[in-house]
Order: sequence, then C-alpha cells, then structure tokens
Amino acid sequence: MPQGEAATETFVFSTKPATARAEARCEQEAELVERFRAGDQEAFADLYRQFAPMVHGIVLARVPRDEVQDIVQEVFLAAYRNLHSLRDSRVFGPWLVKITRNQAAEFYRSSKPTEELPEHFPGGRRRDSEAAEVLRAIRSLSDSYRETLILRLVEGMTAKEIAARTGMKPESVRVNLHRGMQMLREKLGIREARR
Amino acid sequence: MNKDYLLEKAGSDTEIEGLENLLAAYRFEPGRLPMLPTKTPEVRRPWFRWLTFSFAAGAAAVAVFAGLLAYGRIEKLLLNVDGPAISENVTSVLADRSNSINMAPAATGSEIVITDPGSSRKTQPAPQRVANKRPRATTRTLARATPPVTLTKKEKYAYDQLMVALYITGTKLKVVQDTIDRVDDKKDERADNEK
Repeated sequence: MPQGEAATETFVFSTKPATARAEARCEQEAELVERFRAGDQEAFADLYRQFAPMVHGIVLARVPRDEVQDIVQEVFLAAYRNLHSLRDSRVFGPWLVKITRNQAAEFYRSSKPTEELPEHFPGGRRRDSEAAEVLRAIRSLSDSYRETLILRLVEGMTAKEIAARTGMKPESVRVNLHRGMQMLREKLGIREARR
Repeated sequence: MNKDYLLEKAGSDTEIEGLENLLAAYRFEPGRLPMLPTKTPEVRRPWFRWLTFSFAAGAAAVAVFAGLLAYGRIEKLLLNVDGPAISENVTSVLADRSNSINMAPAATGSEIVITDPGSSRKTQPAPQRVANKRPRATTRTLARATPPVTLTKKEKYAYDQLMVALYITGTKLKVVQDTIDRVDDKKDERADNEK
C-alpha cells in the first residue's frame, strides 16, 4: 500500500445535496435502490453503470492495478447482498464508498505482501512508464487527496460529480483537488508558469 | 493552472489535459456486470425481525398451552376408564358423608382406595370377596395411568391430533429460526463459492 502523507483533510459526509441538479440525481439513485429492493435486477445494473467509475477510482488509489478489477467486482457483490440493510436509500453513494474502502483494506489484511510489477520494465513504452510514474506520485499523497485526484484525472469526474457521488461536501472536494494538484506538481517537478 | 478546468472542466488547461491523457490508460472500462447471485436478496427491515420473533414466541406459547390442555383432557379420559360417572359419585359421597369416608393407600401402592362403609349397599351391588383380603366394604379404585395404556378410539384420535399439532408447530418454529439465522443466504453463498 502506498505510504501517504499525514492526512490533513478529513472526509465530511453530507446528506444534503449541494444543488437542485445534484438533488435530482440523488432522487434518481434512491429510486433505483428502491426498484432493486422491489426485485428489479435491471435497477442494479443501472447503479453499477453509474457508480462503477467511482468505485474503480477509489480502489485504484489504494491497491495494485492488477487487483483493481477483482476488488471492484467484490464491492458490487457485497453491495448486492447487503443493499437491504441500507436504511436511507438516498445515501447509496457514501455507503458504497465505505464498502469500497473496507474491501481495499481487506485486500491488504488477507493477502501476502506483494510488490507491484513495474510498468517501465525494459521493452515497455515510454508513455506507459510516464503514466505509471504519475499514478505512483498520486498514490503517495494522503487518502483524501489521492482519491479526489484519481476521480478527477483518471475517471474524468468534475468536482460536483465527485461530491454528489461520494457524499463529500463540495467545498472539501474543491480544497482537496486544489491542494492535491499543487502537491502533485511538486512531486512531479512541474513549476508554476507565471502568467 | 486553470482552476475552472480543474474543478468543472470549463475552459482548458494544457497541463491538466496532458495528465488526463496520460492517465487515460487507467480509466474504468465499462464491461459486463459482475456475476451476481441468481436469487434476489430478501428485503429485511429491522422491525421485521422483531415481528418474526414475536410471532415465533406467540406460536410457541400457544403450542405449549394447547399441548397442556390436550394432555389434561387425555389424562382425564384415562382416569375415567372405570366409568364416566365415577367422579360424580365420589364427589357426592364426599359431600354427604365426609366424616365417614376413609382414604387409605392400598396395599399395592399404586392405587388409591376409597372406603365407604355406610351407603355402599344401597347404590352398589354386594361386595365380593377378593383374593388379597381387602376390607369388606364397597371400594372404588381410581386407577392411575400406568403404561401400557389401551386407548379408546376417541382417545387415540385426540392423541394423534395432539401429535400432528406439535409436529406442525415444531416445523414452523424451525422455519422461523432458519429465517432469523439466514440459513438460506448462507447456503446460497456456499453454493456460489463452490461454483
């Protein structure tokens, strides 16, 4: 597991959507959860399509790349089995984030210590090695920064989407993205271009 | 660094776009849904478990009460094996001649012998000598139920009804217990793991 810096940011969950659009999305997700509880399997497929990138990003921030796909599958399997225990269907996203983090932690508890295969081995493409280097730099940041940065840079989610999906406060996401980006630039040796 | 692009993808920022393109290789690729169990998880709510437990407890109480009631009736039938009017006769004798009735354990130990020297000649046939030299008085014996007991048709029917009721109650309690323990879910999980 990449050793992060001391966490200075904390995740603050909020059940209050930031905007009307986010609220509508939250209602839609809640409706999907209720439909699944009523026995509609297609509703769970929709939930998977909507939340799989977020789960993938959070897992990628924590475990070796080769293991990511398996853990994503385990997360959704656990969600499928335990969705009946979710009291408030409006907080499906934060609940799924919690399951994802637990599954990632479980991976390190249950598996033997391994070392990730370097992607810049002889014969590999230069671009791949650069990507691996950037990813390693992101994963060396603290939890709050690396999760939001991967969701933004890898999964292509905006700050509002990250807040709506994960249940974090939009202000926290903005701060984490801004500070995390500054730290990443320092690690990668990118200097601020004076305008 | 363009903050608008970092937060909401508004405008452009070559540096962040370069990082996005570099990290696109790690992005989630929508694929097939994970293999999910065929059986939809049963929706259970917190109050449902208490309701189930209350129902089980109530059913058990009713079963025990019914069992005791039925057992009492059967015992009464067994006690009336000498004749249906025997208890009424004993009661009237006790009321009229309470001072002259002696109750004493019989020689065999398993019988209660009621001796009524005064009125026996009027209501009962003449006493007969018995081989074990019991007192020459009218004696009525309340035989206690001692196995083996030969049941009449009516008693046999009542006994069978009691056994059926107890069996059905026991089966239902087992189903309720399994529901509480989620035995089916565990079986499904085991079957999935085996697959």
